[in-house]
Amino acid sequence: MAQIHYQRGTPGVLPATWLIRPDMASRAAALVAIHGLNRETEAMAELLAARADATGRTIVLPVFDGACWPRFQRAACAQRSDWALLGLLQVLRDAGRIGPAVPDLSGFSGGAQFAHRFAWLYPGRVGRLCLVAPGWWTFPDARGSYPYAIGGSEGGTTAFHMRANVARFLDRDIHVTVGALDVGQDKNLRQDPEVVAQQGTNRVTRARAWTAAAIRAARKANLRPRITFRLMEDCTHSFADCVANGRLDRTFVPDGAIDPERQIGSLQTQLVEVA
Amino acid sequence: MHLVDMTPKAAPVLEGAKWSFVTRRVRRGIVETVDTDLAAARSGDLVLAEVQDLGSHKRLQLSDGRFSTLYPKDRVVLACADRFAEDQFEGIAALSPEGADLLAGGGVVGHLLSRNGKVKRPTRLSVIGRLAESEGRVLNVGDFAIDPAPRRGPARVIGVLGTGMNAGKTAAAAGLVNGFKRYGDRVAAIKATGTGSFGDVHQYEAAGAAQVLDFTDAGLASTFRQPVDRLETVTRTLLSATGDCDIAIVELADGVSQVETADLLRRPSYRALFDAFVLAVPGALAARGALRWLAEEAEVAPLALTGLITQAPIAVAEAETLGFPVLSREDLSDPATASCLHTILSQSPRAGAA
Repeated sequence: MAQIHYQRGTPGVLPATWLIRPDMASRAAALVAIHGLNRETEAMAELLAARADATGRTIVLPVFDGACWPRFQRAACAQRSDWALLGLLQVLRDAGRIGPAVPDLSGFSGGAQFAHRFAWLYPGRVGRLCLVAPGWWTFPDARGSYPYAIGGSEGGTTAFHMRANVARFLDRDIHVTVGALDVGQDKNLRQDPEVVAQQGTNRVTRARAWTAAAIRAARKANLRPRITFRLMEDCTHSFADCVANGRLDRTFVPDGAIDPERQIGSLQTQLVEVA
Repeated sequence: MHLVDMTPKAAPVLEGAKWSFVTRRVRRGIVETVDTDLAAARSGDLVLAEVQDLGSHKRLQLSDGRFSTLYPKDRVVLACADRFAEDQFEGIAALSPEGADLLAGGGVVGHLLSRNGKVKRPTRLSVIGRLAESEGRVLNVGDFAIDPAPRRGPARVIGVLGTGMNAGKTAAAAGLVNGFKRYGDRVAAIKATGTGSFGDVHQYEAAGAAQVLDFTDAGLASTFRQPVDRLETVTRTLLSATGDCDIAIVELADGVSQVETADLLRRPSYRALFDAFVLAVPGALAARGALRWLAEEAEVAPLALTGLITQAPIAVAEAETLGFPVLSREDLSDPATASCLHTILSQSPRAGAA
């Protein structure tokens, strides 16, 4: 049976973390799972524990508490939740809790908002990406302004970072999924006219629109897109519901491939090995 | 008839002497005698002097990284060298029985040629002699240089250039060090040219560099008026000593058109040591001039502008029209910037390969 540990954080510096360790660990990369705005992390950890055993992967589930990281989903927010996750992963690597392989990243709802922005800012620090039902997205399109897209002068250096990283961000397996019944307009679903015009009125239309835009951007960058979309039948905007009815846990924590070239460590060594 | 050996023994006259920053690699145990042939002084020679008259420099940077207030009659161990500093002194590596000038607080002694009008005259020294080993051979900081390592340097090398002194180069270099360190890299910081001083080294260390080296580690107290071949070798030596780092941030002193910096940047073999450059500037017009000089003389287009200009939003707005991102020290210390620079470097040939 996988063991679920809770590791205390340092307020404003490192988030507390649920660490799910499989009974029989494999050499596959760790998986980082990001919660939504409801922050129901303990339930999420329990729903994912079986997948840790099934895949042999360590699952890291940081808790971006509302007091320290109220807008964590923006990643490069005032409280810099992106820095917090970078720091957490470094601490876990240094302590031997996770290996040197670049972790995969999966996020649900607000966690998917965070996940796609984090991977976009740090494409060398993330492997596969699984994005489930975010409320709204940053599009890989220079015709709009940040944070809805990556053009214009708004967003300062974050937009600059994202423009530079577009191709490297899209050059990975990205799986987008959303519940077919997730078409409501709850309080967490942004309804600004600009968002509605660009992305649609609900999470399903927004996920479809982003997937199409990402595929177009990947092709424009001369990449062969590895971006997939799945509608989970009979699923609402609930992680538990998506696991029960859409087998989301298997998508969220897939079997992990072992890629010796994707390791965080000596860049020198990596370049020599690649050469 | 036989001659009496008048060569003074070093130990008594060195007692209590303050050893300056540029002498920090010297193995003090091999100092045996003091040579008094001051006319033969050359750049890098170790010099024992006595403070006579305090001027601009009232403190000495010590070999252990601390400042020491200077007093008249203090004995100090320095290195004879040239000095190029637009906002302080211009001086040459020369000693005289009539005295010498403290040209830099890091421990450079020589003969003053000119000074900035805003700066007091230099601290005046009496020269006791040059330190020598038992056989009388005069010791030079070059005797204690690190050897070139038989390995390649870090996988990535970013150069930090500027329009002149105080353009913000060191702050930019420290920002880059901090950003790459927080991204998860092991970072080396190197000051490749300039005058020996611990200020830059301390800033690199504070930013989190895993390894910090400067040209004094490669045997030079100052790089002014040194042959460009030697300066290129110094950078290669320092890079080879940081091969276990992922990335090196290399700062070049003064402005891009300063004689030695310009000669280095004109060399394809030197530029080929770098993956990219950033340029520190105080204002938009200076940026325009430096960018033009770099394009015409060195075929270099920097990745970004930085420096003092970033304190003035109105100047930043003007500089952005030149087509380069303008990044503050805070931007450079953001690991997201480090990530972005990795992306850009992975997609670009080395600067010198252009």
